[in-house]
Amino acid sequence: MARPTLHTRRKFLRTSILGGAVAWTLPAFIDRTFAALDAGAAGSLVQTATGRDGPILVILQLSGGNDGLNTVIPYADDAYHRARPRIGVPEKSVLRLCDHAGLHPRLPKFAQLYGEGHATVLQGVGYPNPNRSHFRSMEIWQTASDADRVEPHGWLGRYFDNCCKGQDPAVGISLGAQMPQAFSAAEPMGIALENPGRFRFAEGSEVMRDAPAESSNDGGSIGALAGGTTSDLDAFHYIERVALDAQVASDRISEIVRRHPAAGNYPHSRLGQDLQLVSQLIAGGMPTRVYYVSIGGFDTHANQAGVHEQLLGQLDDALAAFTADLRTQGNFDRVLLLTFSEFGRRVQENGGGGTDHGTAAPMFLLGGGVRPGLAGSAPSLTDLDAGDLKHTVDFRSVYATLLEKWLRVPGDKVLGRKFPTLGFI
Amino acid sequence: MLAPLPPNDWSLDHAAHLLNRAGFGGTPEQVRAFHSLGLDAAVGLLLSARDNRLAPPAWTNDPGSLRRQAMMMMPAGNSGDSGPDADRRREAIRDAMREEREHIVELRRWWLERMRSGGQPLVEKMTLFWHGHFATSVVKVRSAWAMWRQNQTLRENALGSFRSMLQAMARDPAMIRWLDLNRSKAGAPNENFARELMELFTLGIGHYTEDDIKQSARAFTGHTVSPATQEFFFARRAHDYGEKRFMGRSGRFDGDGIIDIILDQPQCARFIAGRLWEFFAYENPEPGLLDAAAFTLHGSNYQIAPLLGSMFRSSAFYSKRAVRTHIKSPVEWLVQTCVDLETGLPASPALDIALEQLGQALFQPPNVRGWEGGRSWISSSTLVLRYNLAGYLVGATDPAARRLFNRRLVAPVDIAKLAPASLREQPQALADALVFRLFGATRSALLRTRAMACVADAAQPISDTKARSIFQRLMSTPDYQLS
Repeated sequence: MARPTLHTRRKFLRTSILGGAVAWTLPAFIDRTFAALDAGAAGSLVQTATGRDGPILVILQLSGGNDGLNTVIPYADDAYHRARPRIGVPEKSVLRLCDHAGLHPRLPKFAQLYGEGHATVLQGVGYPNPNRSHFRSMEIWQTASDADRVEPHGWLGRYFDNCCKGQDPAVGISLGAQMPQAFSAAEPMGIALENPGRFRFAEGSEVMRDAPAESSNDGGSIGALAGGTTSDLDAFHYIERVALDAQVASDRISEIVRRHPAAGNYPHSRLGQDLQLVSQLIAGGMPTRVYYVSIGGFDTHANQAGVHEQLLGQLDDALAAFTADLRTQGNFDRVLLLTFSEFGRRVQENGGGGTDHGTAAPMFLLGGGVRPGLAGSAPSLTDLDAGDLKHTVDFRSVYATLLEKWLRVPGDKVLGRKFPTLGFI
Repeated sequence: MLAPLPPNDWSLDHAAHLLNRAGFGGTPEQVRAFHSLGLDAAVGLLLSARDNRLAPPAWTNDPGSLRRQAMMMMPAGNSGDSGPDADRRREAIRDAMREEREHIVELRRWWLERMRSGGQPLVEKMTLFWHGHFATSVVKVRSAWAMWRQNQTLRENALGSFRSMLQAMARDPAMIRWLDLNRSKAGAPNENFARELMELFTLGIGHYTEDDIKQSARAFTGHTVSPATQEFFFARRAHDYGEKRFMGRSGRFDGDGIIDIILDQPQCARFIAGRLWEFFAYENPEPGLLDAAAFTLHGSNYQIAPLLGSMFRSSAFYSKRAVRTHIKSPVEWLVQTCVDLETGLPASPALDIALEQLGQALFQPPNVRGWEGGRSWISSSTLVLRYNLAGYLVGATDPAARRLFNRRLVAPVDIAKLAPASLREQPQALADALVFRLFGATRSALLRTRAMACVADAAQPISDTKARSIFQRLMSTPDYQLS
């Protein structure tokens, strides 16, 4: 069966899916999106301005609580070696960043990028009254709330709501089947993408072919039975909106993946594959501002050394491949990647060769646009709060900096109030 | 006391709703039979039904697998990394790991078949609830046998005493490994279990202090797993017999002592009642309703069945807030779809791939908090897959799904039974039959209108292929994601 024309596709979106009372969910971006698709189909592939020029943020979540002290190691501090007789990294193997701090030996490629001036290591990032629950702390990081307040929407969701109204739903793309809480928004935006090969609605069936062209449902099946609405159908409308966003984005993503084959020399890890896809989508000019990628396994309560080393190795290999690929593309200067974790770990190692939940930790920032070097000040290892580090940088200052200096939107509109910006951009 | 539904209100739609939520749905015949019992007897049947005819995989009784277990648990690479012995050992470990993966696949199918067969729907649904509540993943536990043991423990205590359940979980080999109890000893307690016990299993965040965590972690020291039997073992030498201060009390508490103090907190009853209400009925229950449910649970000394009985008989359970507002989890969606289509579960590996891609691989929750549920089940990625899988399961022409899965892996659907010839010439009657089968709704004018529009789209006569397509369209809708 021939693929339906874009004309019928547009009509389909207007009539079959969104007919009647649900038409209010029709977002303003649709016409623009389809204008771009029409142009693409005509062979000119005119990209919207945002797709080719705008700054891009890649968030890399390290789930489980990455041990900051064994990532950026205060090797010159005796207190570090005293607190970690079993799992401490010996001074001689540390990759030195300066005369008191250095990277874990399994981060050589990142160390090299740092040396070449492409990375910032921001020390001591946390927040007041730290929570040591994975879930609550991750929620605090993802919603940028105070520790004692619950914020329903994510910080990136609020960025979409406030600053990206009416844009393509793919303004945010999360790699993986689920959306991060950071994306949750009053009006849902963003696409979750697990496998681009499978991100297609199945083509139509006999019913669709039999039906007259005017009501042709070329998407196979999305919400083809739209009708009235009642007040208790909130979940219904949510699903309907996701279906619509998926339909729009899947066209574009399949087209990009077809036109821009995977490049670069990435490791086979999940993280490597995810970053490779991010790079493909960037190369293809997706109008995406924010990509969200994650890697888990950092909850190292026991026998930490081997596991942590392996995870850092995965991170190191994937970041190096991503950087090299973006530089080849010529996009490295407009991409900024940052890593974060819900908390660092306790200074003192535990009885099982691991570490329990802690507080402040360093973040990595990588990209052509960062002001490189070691930023922030490392928390003291002796002036502790219940055995944990006292943060020196509030993570919301990091977000404010990204919003104001990188995405160039007013930070207080997203974060609810002003946070001082930092000098890493 | 939750206000009960007036017996005369009990309708076919209510019966379908109860079967969907307390079990995994039912065919039109099953819903009619269930409805004819009346509300009280229907709930009684759910609470009392037991059916253990479907036996677990044979290896669950195989002591040989325990030896392999023990071997895998040994730290690798300590004794001589080269030579024929080390090679043989490495090969044996590889074999054992492959076998473990196969066992987990068998275990998943066994459990899903139990859900699908409907012999004890509420017990299996509650086992699924507890699996999400005490969420333990084979990725860290690395033992199919231990996961099976835990699954059986969850099933045995599913409707019984929550106190017994907690005591059993603190002694469960999979849980002990999952939350590092086996690495916790006097003088160096590991806080992982103690923290999640209060945060996720009993009280909820904000109802304990960091010091409560540290003190109770000491009380659970000594809970470990015997390498020889893979069973729970209390290591006296590792236990901290000293005095602990916990939630305002002092004493030489052991783990059970801590559990008793936690259960004394009214917050615990409130927390568990809330979790159950959200799982079975709807999110954010009214405070008065939650008070009543918590009162029932506390008053029955934490027996689960009486609370479920009063929930399923309550009018709130059948209110507008409850009916057709729940987003089916992938397991609910898949099992219920097979029930709706009166077909078997897909063969492996289609079954495993589907659930993994939809975001709910059994025995492999993403973390100790379990699956988030609700809207997080639906993303652009999982929704596309649900729509495509629906077409695949009903046997509609469906190239995209064919690329995903081998067609031979799907059980055939008897379309002549699902859409009988006698109905195909009467569009409204066919639409009504489909709405009852797929949505359990006879009274929803909205759903009937939508289905009618879909049936009317297909020109007469309606062939088997068209009938399959109509099913596909009805199932590839937001409505079908809800129950």
